[in-house]
Amino acid sequence: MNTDISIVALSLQTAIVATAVTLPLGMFFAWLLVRKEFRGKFALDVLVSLPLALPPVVIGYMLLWAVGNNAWLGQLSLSWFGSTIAFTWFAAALAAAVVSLPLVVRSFAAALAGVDPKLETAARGLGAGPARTFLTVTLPLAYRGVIAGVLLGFVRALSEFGATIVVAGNIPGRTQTVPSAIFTRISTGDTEAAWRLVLVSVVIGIAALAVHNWLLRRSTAGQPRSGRSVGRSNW
Amino acid sequence: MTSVCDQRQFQRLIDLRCVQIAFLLAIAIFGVSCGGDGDNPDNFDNRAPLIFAAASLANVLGEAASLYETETGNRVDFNFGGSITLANQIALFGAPADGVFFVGERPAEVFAEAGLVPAPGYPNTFSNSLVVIGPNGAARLSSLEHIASVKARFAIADPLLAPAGVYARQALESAGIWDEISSRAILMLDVRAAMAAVESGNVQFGIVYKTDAATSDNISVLYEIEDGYSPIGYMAIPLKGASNEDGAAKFLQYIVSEPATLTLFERAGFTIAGVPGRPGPNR
Repeated sequence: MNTDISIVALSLQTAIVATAVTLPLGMFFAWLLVRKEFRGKFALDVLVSLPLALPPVVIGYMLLWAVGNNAWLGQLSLSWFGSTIAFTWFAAALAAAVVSLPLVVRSFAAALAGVDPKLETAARGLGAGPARTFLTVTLPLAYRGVIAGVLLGFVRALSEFGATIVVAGNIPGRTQTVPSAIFTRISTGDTEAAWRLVLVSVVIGIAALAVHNWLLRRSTAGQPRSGRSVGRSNW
Repeated sequence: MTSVCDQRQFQRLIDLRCVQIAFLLAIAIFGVSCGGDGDNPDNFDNRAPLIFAAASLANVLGEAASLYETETGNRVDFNFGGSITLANQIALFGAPADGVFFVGERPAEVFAEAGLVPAPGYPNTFSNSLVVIGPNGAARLSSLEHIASVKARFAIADPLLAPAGVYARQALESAGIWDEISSRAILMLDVRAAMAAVESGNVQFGIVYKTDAATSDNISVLYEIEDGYSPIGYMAIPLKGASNEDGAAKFLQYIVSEPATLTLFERAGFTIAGVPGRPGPNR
C-alpha cells in the first residue's frame, strides 16, 4: 500500500514537471501555428506532432541517445550533478513531456483559433503591447480550451510507458511510474498488486476525461453570462 | 458583434479570467516546486546505494537488505531485471547503478565491450541450477527430452536479455531438442517473468532457476536439470566512480561475508561457491 502511494506520487511528480514544460512550450508553438505565417510553418507543425505518429519506444531511444552518458547533454549533467539524466525521474518527465506535447499544442491551437483576432487587433489599437494583449485578451478568452489541453497533456504524461521505460528504466522508488510498476507486477505475476494500480489508473483517467469534456462543452457553448457574445469560437 | 458595448462588463470578464489563470498557474508552480525541488537531493548523492541485480535474486537480496538495514541502519535500493538488460543500461547509457549483482558471463562481456573496467568484486560467490516447472498437479517429467514429446509451449527468459535464458537454451541444446522445440518457446524479459507465465496458467512448462521455483506456491518442479549447461555463477561488483560506490561496496561485502546472509542464500537454495569474505580478483 505504501509502495503504491509512493509510485503514484512519483508518477504525479513526473507528470507535473512534464506539464510545466509543455504548458509554456505548447502555448508558444500553438500561438506560432495559429497566429503567425512564416517559412517552415509546415515543417514545425509536422515536427511538433511527430511524437503522435511515432512508436513511443522510438522517442525513448532518441532521448536516450540525447541524454545518455555518451551525449553532450548527458556529459554536461554528469559533470554538474554527478549523474546522467538517463535513468533518473527527470528523464521520465522529459519523455512524458515530449510524448504529450503534440496533444497540448493541438488543444491550445484549437483554443487560440477560437478567439476572434479582431479582439486582439482592437486591444492592440487601444495601446496594449503584444504580451499584454495575449495575457489579458487572448488567454482569458481561450481559458477553458487551455485548461482542457493542460489536463489532456497531464493525463497523457501520467500514462506514458514506452518512451519512459527506455530512457528512464524501471527502477523501484526512483523511476518506476504507475505504468511501469504495473508492467513489473504483470511480469512477475503479482496479480493483485497489478490490479490495484490498474484501478488507480482507470479512476484518474475517467476523472480527467470527465473534467476535460466538461470544460470543452462549456467553452463551445461558452458565452458570457449576460448572453452577449464576446469571443465567439470559429469552430 | 465585436463592438464592445459595455466596456465595464468586458473589463470585469477579463479581470475574472486573469485571476483564474493566475490562480491555476500558482498551483502549477507550487506543485512543481514541491514535487521537483523537494526530491532533488534524493536523486543524486546522499542516497542509498542502488544495486542493479539479477531477477533471480529478488527475494533473497530483499531479505538480506532488511538484515543489513537492521544491523547498520543503512538502506539499499535495488533494480531487478535480466542481468544482460541491466548491464547494457549501465555500459551503454550510464544508468546510475552503484553496484551490480549479476548472474552469468555475458554481463562481464558487455562491460568489457564498452571499455568499462569493473572494480575487483566477488565473482562466482553463489551458484544455482535449472529446473523445469509446470502448473501445480502436472505430472513429473522422466527426462528433459520429454518436453519435446508433449508439444506444448514453454517459457524461458530471452537469451539475449537474461542469462537464465542462455543456460536454458544450452540445456535444451545439449539434450538435442532445441531445434525441434524452439518455435514453441515463449521468450520473456527475465527468469521471473518466465515463471510468471507458467504461474498464470497460460504456458505449460518453464525453465527457471531452482531458487525461483522455491519462491512460488503456484507451480511445481517437474524435473531437475543436472547438467548440459555452464556452471551458473553470480558476481557482485561495486562500480568504480559511481556516486555511492562506497555504500554499494559495503553492502556487497556484507552479503558475501556475513554468516547470516550466507544462511539466507543457502536456505533460498543457492550454493555458496566462492570463499566468503575474501575479495578475489575479478575473473
